[in-house]
Amino acid sequence: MRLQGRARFTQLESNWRPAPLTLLGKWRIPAFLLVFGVVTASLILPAGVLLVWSVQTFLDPETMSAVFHTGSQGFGSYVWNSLWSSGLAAVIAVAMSLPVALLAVRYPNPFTKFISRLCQVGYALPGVVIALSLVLLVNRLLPFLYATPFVVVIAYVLRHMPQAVRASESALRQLSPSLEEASRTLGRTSIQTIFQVTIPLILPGLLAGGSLVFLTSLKELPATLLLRPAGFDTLAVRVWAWAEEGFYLQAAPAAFILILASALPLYFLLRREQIFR
Amino acid sequence: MTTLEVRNLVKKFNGSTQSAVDDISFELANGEILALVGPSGCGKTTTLRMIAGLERPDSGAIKLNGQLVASPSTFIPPEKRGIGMVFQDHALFPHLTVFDNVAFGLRGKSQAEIRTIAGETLHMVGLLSFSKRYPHELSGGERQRVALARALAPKPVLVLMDEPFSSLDADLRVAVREHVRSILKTMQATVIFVTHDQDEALYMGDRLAVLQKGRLEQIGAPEEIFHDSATRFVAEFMGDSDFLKGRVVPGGIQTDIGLVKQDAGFPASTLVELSLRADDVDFTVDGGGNSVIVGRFFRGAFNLYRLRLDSGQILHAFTDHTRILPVGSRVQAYIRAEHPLNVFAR
Repeated sequence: MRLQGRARFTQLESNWRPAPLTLLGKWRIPAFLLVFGVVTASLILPAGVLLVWSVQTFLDPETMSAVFHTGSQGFGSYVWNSLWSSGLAAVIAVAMSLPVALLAVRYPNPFTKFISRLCQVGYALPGVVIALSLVLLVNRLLPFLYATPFVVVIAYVLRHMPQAVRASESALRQLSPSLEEASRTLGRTSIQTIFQVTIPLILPGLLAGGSLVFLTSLKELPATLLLRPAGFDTLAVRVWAWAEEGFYLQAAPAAFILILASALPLYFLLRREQIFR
Repeated sequence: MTTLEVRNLVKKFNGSTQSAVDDISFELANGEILALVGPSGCGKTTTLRMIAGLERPDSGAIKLNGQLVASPSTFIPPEKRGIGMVFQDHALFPHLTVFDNVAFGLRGKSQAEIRTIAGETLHMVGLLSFSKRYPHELSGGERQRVALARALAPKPVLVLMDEPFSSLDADLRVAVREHVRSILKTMQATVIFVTHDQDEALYMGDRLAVLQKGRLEQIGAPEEIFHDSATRFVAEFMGDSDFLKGRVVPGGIQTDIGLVKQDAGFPASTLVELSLRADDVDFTVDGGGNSVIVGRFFRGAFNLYRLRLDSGQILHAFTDHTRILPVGSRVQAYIRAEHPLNVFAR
């Protein structure tokens, strides 16, 4: 990763050794088929179908124009809506997870642990429930937010906060507190230490948490459907709308772009695992 | 001049019945190296962290250059104390180069000044040519020296070192401690050096403070601690003493290997123990002697013999490396020491 240069962001030394190779003998082919079957069923088949359908869409001018001119806005705006709402949710979730994680990891006591657990409740709640309660809440207390895309972003943050909190907590756990203490003895206040030592060192973990929030927000359908203002279509919403009407070919390009957009943070997540080798 | 004054320091951690640090007081003169030594869990690291400002004392006071930095009503945070600290795991910033690590504590100075000071400090520890490297590209000994340079660069009033050599290999440790001590003495740094290794403490400290279970057992020059141990624990911890049981009688102490002519400082018929180190004991081969050789450990420059007296008491004796006797030989053990021995009531 270029951004990181030669700097290392972890101190943990691992005693990891590759597992010894086991020869499967006559089980080689069945084992391969099993693994290959899972990959085919879960990835190659759906992605392949989408790709074929997308190509068909592009070859058929009528469907093509339907893709680009459905609703009040064009195709580009669905993509953009998806990206910015999920991206903003990721940034907010990570920013909010940091103080929670700092408290829970550096000052562990029943109260800080309770806060950390509380932030993870969103995971257990269905998106619809969060969306419904937000509708009521915003209507009563924050009417100026009602029917803006920001309610959607708030729902994403609430729903996917646990991923950010967990990523931040595990990144912090790997960071020896002595680094922060060293910074204090070298003249930095606790706030300066957070910005000059803690955050730079747990940045890969924060980015990983952000990627996860981004990824799951991209796919979030129920909360988006319930909370979006009129005309605020995201890729997931569009795919759902087209598919519900039976226009599978029209839905295919949007679904395919959704997969591409998810692949980017996923690539980063997988790369991160290699950096630490 | 007194740099550090610690008065009646107490610290108790949540959920613990015993105090981690229990009423510790000492002073540290300018330019002095104090070795804080004791077994693990004796409170030495907690004491160090309270001086650094990383822990708050429950009671007691800490004064740095006459200024109160910690008491029940005062707490100056670590960044305002001007103390340098070397951590057990070195705690080098992995995202910064060696140079930037050393320059980290020099904020507020001009670029030119920072370059000069960090450069000089790195030169002093012999790592100037490593400036552009990252910590993970260094060996353990090099990291240790960077950590020292980083702590020394801002010219702290006091340097705290928390078991700085414990992560190094044994052979490297001896070489590094010699180097580090000469650097500290050149800088005329005032230092508290925490270790659990009595050997290291004797080597590094101008004075030693021996801690056990949060209490200060004895503080003094290395020779004083070694020869004139204040408590049985100090005698045992500093130099692997054996304790020979005895009873105070007129004219000395009656023991299993005869009368030791020494004023015990206790009234007659008090039950006491004499602390004996292996260099205080010798023996002659004697078929009717008072003890049996039960073990011999060849140490290169000398032999260490383990003797069992007929009473069951075990003693150790250093002898010449050429004097080799089989296990099971009967010998006559005696005390060869000409200095007064430490006596403790039992």
